[in-house]
Amino acid sequence: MKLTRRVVGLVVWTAAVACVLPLVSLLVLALGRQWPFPHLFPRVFAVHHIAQLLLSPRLTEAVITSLAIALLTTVLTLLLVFPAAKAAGLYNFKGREALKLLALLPVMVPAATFTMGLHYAAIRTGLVSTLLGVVVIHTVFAVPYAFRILLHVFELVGERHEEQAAMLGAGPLMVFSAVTLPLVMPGMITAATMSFIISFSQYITTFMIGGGRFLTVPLLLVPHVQGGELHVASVYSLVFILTALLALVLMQILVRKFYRETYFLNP
Amino acid sequence: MHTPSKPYLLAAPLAIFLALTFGVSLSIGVSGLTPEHFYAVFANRDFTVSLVATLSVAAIATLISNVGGAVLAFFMLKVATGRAWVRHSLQLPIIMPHLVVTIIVFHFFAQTGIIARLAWWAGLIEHPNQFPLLVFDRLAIGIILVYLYKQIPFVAMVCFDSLKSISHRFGEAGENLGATPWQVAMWIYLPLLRPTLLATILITFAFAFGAFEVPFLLGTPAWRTLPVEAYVLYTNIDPGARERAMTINVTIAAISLGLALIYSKTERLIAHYRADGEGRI
Repeated sequence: MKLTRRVVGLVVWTAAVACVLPLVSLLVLALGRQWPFPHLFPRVFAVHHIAQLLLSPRLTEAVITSLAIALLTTVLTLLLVFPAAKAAGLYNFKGREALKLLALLPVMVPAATFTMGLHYAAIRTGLVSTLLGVVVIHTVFAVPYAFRILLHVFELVGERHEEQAAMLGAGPLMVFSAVTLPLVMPGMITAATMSFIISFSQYITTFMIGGGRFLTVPLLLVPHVQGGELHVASVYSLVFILTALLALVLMQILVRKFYRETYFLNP
Repeated sequence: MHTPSKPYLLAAPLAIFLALTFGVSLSIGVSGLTPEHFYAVFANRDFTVSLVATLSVAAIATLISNVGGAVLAFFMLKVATGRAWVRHSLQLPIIMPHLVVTIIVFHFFAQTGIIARLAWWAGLIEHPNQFPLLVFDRLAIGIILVYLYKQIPFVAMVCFDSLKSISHRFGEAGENLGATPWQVAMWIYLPLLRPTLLATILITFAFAFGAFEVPFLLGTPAWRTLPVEAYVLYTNIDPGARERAMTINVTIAAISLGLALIYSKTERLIAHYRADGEGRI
């Protein structure tokens, strides 16, 4: 019995370490220089190569473009999903199941397949190589996650609080800003986080619909992976992960701050 | 109370947005395709190889990640409830982009990678060439490894949450009646977990089936997965290549839509099995 418990603990522990190990190895890969076979560790650790890569204008451009597209995608996704999730979460109406299925489709239909169909249409409508085109295609793939999260939140929160506020004489705008929004804010943050991450990691969609005009971090990264330049790729990967994490933490702090100052509540 | 039209007004923007993008994508994709295009593509040997290979890779990745993830979830429940660092480590692969995971798999499993170096130190190989080809290989081991790193923690987290939401009274009742921990897991929790597992199986399969970047970067030159094959054809200037690409895409979309339909059916099953406050199902 005790032995089983120890084995079980060891398996969980190993799995957790295996999940973190790649991030550590990515750091070693980024910092190390001169690392021929069969050395297990780089012979030289150097920072100045990284500094050179980090200061390249292409990386700056890619980070700014990625952030801008991801932010716009997040906003568009929330604008579309919020009312729809509310409808599906609170009301029973004909077509609710169809709406849920429709909002699930982008998870199931592969991005490459979907994008090829849309690419042709985008060329004809002039959406190709535009910021709007890229944001629209990213939004398609962010919708399922944001929808699921907010749907769940609305199902939990219900409509009673809104009804009470309306009964006490609050107008629709007041109900929304003072009751609905604070109640679903934690879910909104999670939904925004997911939308942001999904937009930030898009490759083939940006590549095709962006028509080469938008250099995002994944687009910068892929040629280096193809060329086997693992050192450069690892530095860009770290920038990739860190930028996404930083932006998310910042977003959460800002929203929480707004939340606390406006409503004096602890989410 | 609300007016009958309210939910429709609320849902309209998203419904129109999705219907429009999907409708346009599908109609453009299908336009100009005739049954002859499908016969020609299905009769092509490259397509058959691609289809079988893509389905096999997805099936193997799905099988390993769901069995591994479910076992890990059970184990976590046994020892690590409340251990924040385990849960945080398991969340890392979920937010790690596939592209980055691809780099890491290459770094570890290439013939001059970390594992090959460890093999050299252990005296198993003398030269990188003697290390088995694990990336760009015909068996797609590198591709599957990327999926496993992403999906085992995903399945484990989803199953872990689901197991926690299932009332512990079932397990206690079983134990009181003399069931061993193994019997409790196999005969009580596994059946209750089945709808959740069905959902994760569908999601992991759909992803592995339709992924582009991973097989594009780590695939063998010997064969291509269907999405990569479609993309290569799409960017080919040969006459008829675009139609062939679109025929493959329609086939992929049909398989994906089938999966989506099954998924939406299982959703209701999950809701049915979720324990309420009283511990009933």
